Amino acid sequence: MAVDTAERTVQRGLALHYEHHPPPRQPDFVDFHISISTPSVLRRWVRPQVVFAVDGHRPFHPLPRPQAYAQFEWGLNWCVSVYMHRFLLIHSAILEKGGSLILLPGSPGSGKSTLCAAMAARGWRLFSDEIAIIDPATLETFPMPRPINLKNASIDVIRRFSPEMQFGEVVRDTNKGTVAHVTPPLESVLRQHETATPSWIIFPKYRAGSETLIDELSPAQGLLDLAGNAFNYHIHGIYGFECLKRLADKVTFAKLQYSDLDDVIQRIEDQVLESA
Amino acid sequence: MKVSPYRLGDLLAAPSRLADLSLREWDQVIRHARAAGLLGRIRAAVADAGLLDGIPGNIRNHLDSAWLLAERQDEAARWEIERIHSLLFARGIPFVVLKGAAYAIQGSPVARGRTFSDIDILVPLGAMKDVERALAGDGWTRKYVVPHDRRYYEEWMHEIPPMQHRKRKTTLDVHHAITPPIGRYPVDSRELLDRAVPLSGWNDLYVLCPEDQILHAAAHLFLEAEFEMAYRDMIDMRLLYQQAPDLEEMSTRLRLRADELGLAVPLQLAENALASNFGLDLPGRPSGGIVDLLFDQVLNSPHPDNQGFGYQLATFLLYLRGHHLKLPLRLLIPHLIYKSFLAERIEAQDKKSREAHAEKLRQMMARK
Repeated sequence: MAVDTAERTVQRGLALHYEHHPPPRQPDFVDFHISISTPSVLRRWVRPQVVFAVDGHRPFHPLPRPQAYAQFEWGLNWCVSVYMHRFLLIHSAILEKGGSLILLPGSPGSGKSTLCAAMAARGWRLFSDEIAIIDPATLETFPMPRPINLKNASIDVIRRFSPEMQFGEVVRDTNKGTVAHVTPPLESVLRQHETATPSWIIFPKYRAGSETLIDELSPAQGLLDLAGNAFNYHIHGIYGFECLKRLADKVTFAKLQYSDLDDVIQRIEDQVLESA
Repeated sequence: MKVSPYRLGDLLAAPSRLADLSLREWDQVIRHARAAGLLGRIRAAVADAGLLDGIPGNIRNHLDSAWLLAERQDEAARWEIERIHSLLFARGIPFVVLKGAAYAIQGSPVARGRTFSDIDILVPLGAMKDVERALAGDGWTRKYVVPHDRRYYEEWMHEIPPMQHRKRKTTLDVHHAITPPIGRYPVDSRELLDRAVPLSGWNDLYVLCPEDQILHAAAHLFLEAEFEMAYRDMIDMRLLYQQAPDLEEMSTRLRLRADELGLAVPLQLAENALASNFGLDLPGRPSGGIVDLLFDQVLNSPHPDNQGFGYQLATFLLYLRGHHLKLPLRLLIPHLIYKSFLAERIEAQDKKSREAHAEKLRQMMARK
């Protein structure tokens, strides 16, 4: 990925969150040429805005300038989800520990990013907070350790949970409310070329004040829920469905309800690492 | 991060050259192809040249992704056509599939790796109401357009506002002609329907005859006012020409047919561009008018990052030309004034009043 921008917030965000990312192995070929710029001269000065573009294509409306960095991260996710159909893409947080790779698919508001940030803080290797990238033939899954996007209350939750995590600028009044990005852990970044195959798929649901409940799901139910979170299995046609099915045969499905982060991570580790 | 202009058309004409590209060149090719909507077409060319296995994985990712998407769209288009056919056949309405969906349903080489966003069909003018009713019964509704645009479509254009399927979100353009009937180059649809070719294996389902497919593509690009897909459209047109066993003979037949339909001007422009920019060896033609030069400018800047002042000026002038060809001046001037100065305000008001209306309905329902 190459980024062309004069926006200071984007430059600062990149310097902060991508400081330890190794240089590309093949600098001559770049997957996405992205630019973040002002949509017009006027918008540089009057109610300043920025717009995301990939090869001149602008998939989103311009946003107010303070959201430039968030726009970059969302835009890059968009690029992967619409231009990388060769992979099976699942809307999911995804982390690994001790060889167990778990997917945490969930809609916005399910608490998947919060749980993802908390697990990353407790030594789980971050693959992604947003997209699982899976080879449909082998189910080999590729890490994309990028900043974790936290929203609203979960920003302070994670700050309290793990004061050592590094936060970027907090931006208010976006479409998603207040947002902030958390730098991915160093080890996840340094091991970004180490792939793995999924062993658990857990659908998380945050519920205030609830106990931690982990219930295994049947493969059939799991497959249905998984399909609901797959960005692009339909693009692969019947083969996409077969691929999801192979994945479903290989993993253990569970649904999870939680409110206490320490407790839920302990329970996940007990259950997942135990069975490994 | 400027890109250097890259001749995708030349590469597609001589795909064996794709084997010699460096990573740096591939970087440019992928960027250009993505911007021009030709990634899937490049993938098809690579495969046809037997070069797939030699392409590095990170480049294959982009090519294969575009290919998969195109394959799925192809399949979806065939499926939609099948549904539409069963609706219209039951009512005794024959119809012609146009453009992308037509290439798909014919299994034409033009369809390979080609992505498209909507399905276009042509039906007899007298059947428009029945067609819309039949489609409505299967979940198709008109996309909402503001009153000005509705009038624009219904009174002046050759199609009704786009229809969309309620569940599948597919967009369908129902045409009764291929050019605006009140524009400079009206084409009598009866002529097209007379020569339309029945698709084997189907009852009463047609595509345009090969000449008319080319003329439609030429009219679409060289009489219209939008040029985002212009480069891709030229590549399509070159492939359509290349389907003919004899280029010279095809060109002669096209000229005769264009005279019958009144499309000699767009055909001339298309052939000039094909000969000068896309290496198609067409019989000698006079060229070099101002409109040719403007199209040269547009077709030589396929990537948004190198569309400089010349491109902007050319597209602006061609935009005016395109609208002028669609509508006589007495209608065009009010239309452009509306679009440039009034549309934003009126459409915002329109949206507000529709929202207020919807809110009122909701309250009424709640009270019940």
